[in-house]
Amino acid sequence: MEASAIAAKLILAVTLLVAGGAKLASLSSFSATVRMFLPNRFRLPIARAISISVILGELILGTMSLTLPSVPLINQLVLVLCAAFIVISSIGYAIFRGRSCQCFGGLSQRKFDFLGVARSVLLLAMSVIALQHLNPGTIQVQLSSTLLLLAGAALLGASAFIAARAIEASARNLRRG
Amino acid sequence: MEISLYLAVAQWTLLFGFAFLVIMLYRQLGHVFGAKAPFKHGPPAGTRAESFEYKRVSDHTLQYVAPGGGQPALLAFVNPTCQACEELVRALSAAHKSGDLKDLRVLLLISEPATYLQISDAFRATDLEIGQILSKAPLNSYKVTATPLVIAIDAGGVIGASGAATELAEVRGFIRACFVPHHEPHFPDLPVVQKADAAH
Repeated sequence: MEASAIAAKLILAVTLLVAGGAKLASLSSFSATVRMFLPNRFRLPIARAISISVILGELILGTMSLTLPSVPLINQLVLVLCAAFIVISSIGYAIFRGRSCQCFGGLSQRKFDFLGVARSVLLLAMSVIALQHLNPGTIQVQLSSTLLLLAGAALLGASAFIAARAIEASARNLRRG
Repeated sequence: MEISLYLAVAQWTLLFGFAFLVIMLYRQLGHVFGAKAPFKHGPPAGTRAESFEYKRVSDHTLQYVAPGGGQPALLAFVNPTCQACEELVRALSAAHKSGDLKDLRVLLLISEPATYLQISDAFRATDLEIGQILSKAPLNSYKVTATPLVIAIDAGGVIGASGAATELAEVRGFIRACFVPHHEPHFPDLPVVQKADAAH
């Protein structure tokens, strides 16, 4: 049971890091998607500011969730973020069905559809599982291990960023012939 | 040395995370390079452009595209939520202001709801005619698999060029293709020898 809670917590952390890194590489596309949810009077700079906040939130929460397993507040924040994902994917499904959600930036072609809502529900279920109280001995991490996990988180986020940017550059170069 | 359960699961999760990232990367590269396949995106040059109906956004009236009426046309299949389409609309608007689109019928065709036009500065600012597609027929006949897609049609109603464009230089290439007469091939499937015989 503890292993499933740890696995859920880690899968969520890795997902947030990949999503944050990939979105950062496609910031303008993600800002355009965010702007769809805002009233017309909100200009692109506001959408961009919200986009950067979301990306930073994902990267910071993913990194903290991976490196600081003994802080229960992080699990609760991840739960709130996953609940927000459900609200956004439901609104997207209702109003912007079939449009790109830019959930993983250029790394995927995910759209606002029923499967997107189902994926958000799955993430929320995993965040609920991750809330389970764990034996302190099971999640004990020494400073050297924390630093290694931090390096792993940075590497994963950077890899997602570079991969998404490479895909966007390839697409742009192909368009230009 | 014994490691905690958390670290054991963490290293495997990170490993699977990287593997997942590599799979996503290859999958997306497949999409990107697959889109370069000839004639997959837009109709080939030399084919006759099809007629279709659309609703003009400015006055909600039904209009008709009938290529071959003596006026070259530039059709741009675009959507307000597509960022590359916004770049194309900006380039077309710049070409319009500099007089490059003179003697040319230019039409921006959207398949998304007209209310989405409000979310895009480029679409709101353009003076070009915007039409909403009423059925999937033009998307199928013009092989619109992705936006933006530009179709250059000559005065005789034959497609001179088709493809994606986002910059003014690319738009000018399509404009030039509109003014070069393109002959529809009469025997596209016949071998060269038989075509030569037919000429005699």
